[in-house]
Amino acid sequence: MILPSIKPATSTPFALLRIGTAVVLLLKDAVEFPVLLQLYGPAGFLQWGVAELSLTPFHPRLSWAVDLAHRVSIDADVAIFMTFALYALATAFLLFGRWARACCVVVWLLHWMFEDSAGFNVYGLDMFLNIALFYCCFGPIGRRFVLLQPARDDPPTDSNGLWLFLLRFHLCVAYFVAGLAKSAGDQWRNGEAIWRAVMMPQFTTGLDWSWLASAPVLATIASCGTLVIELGYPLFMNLPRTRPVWLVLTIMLHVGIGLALGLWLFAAIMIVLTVSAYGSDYAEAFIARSAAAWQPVRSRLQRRATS
Amino acid sequence: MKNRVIAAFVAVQCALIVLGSENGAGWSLLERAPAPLGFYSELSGAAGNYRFFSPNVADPVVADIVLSRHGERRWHIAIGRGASEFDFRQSTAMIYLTTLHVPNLQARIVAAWALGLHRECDTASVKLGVRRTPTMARYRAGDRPWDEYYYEVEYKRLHPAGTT
Repeated sequence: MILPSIKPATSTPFALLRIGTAVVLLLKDAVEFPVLLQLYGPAGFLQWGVAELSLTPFHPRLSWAVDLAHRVSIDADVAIFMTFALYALATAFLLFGRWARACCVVVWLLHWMFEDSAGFNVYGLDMFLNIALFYCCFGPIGRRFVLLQPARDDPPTDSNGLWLFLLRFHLCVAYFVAGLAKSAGDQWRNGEAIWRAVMMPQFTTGLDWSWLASAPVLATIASCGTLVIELGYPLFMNLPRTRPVWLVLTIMLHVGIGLALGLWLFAAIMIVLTVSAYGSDYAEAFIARSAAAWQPVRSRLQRRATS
Repeated sequence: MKNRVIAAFVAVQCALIVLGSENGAGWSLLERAPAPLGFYSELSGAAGNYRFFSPNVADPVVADIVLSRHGERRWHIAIGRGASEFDFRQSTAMIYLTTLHVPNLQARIVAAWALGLHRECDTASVKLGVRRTPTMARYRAGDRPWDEYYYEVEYKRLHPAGTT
């Protein structure tokens, strides 16, 4: 051990992070594909001429791919679709763990290109996907749950523990800062924040939340509960006794965001990050139990095959 | 040796995360930091802004665009009222543009996008506003959400699309 507070860890948290991030990215790709040019095209909602004003010359952007394609007489729109296809293909390889590190670097760079060309339409989902991809680029992602590769030894190591510490530290800061910023607003203390959020037209999920005005105490409980979960995250997630409870509360918070606001992709990446960082032991136990339950069936099938 | 390199990297990254978390007092330090460090912080996600819906939930921005051809109304596009991923991202961009306090630029961006989308149209009338939501108490008293417009402008395309 290098530092007393950093314990050796297996690579399971990063394998879960890799798989979860890839699934969220593929879902995001599926949602964005029909409106790809509207979101990221040169004549999209915010034209590249305006969107790129805020970028430094080093920021990766889609116009680089388009300029490159232009040299071989490929149309700009086709170049964007080709870049998107590469992005989705590399994400699929990331999901299955084949050439995971190289694919992750490609996905991370392409994610940046799309984000930089999006013209201010990025939100928390893109930011946390970027964080997840960054840690996937460095963390031990390719040792476990790799398609068509036999299980390898995965003893707890100091380096894995350091990467896990970093992921946990980042999440603790993010949740705490989010909670702290909210606690400065009176709407979060009297429940108006929840009421206003669910009444926003862009968060219409088909559910009518106007009844909440008749039960303001529920809105107050929900908003104060959000503050407690976010502010308490660094403390209660790191205390072994309270971790299971806080893990469930955090997942419930994000499921609530998905249900009430329709931000399912954002909710999903936050759940992936939290479960990878703090829930890998439970996930491991679940996988071991499932494997044990599956073992008799597998042996029976093997016996039948040999006979 | 490998672990020491990782430990050094982790220490630097942790410092950048704290400095970059925007609410921390270190944000101003990071803004004054050398450009490559700021760029790295952005790439690594260390310079994240986690202030979602804070300190209060702002009124969402709405925009109405009416597209016409030779004076005949053809399309009506409403921004900030749909619930798809595209609508949400468009609303996010609109909120960002609103924070710049440049309604003329915002209206131009919206009109350019709409006229590009419907190239057969020659006129775009743009109205920008905010969706006001009453408090729960006012809602119980009978108030309902309403749109409050603050900017209205019309843009004309003088040449058919694609000829200039």
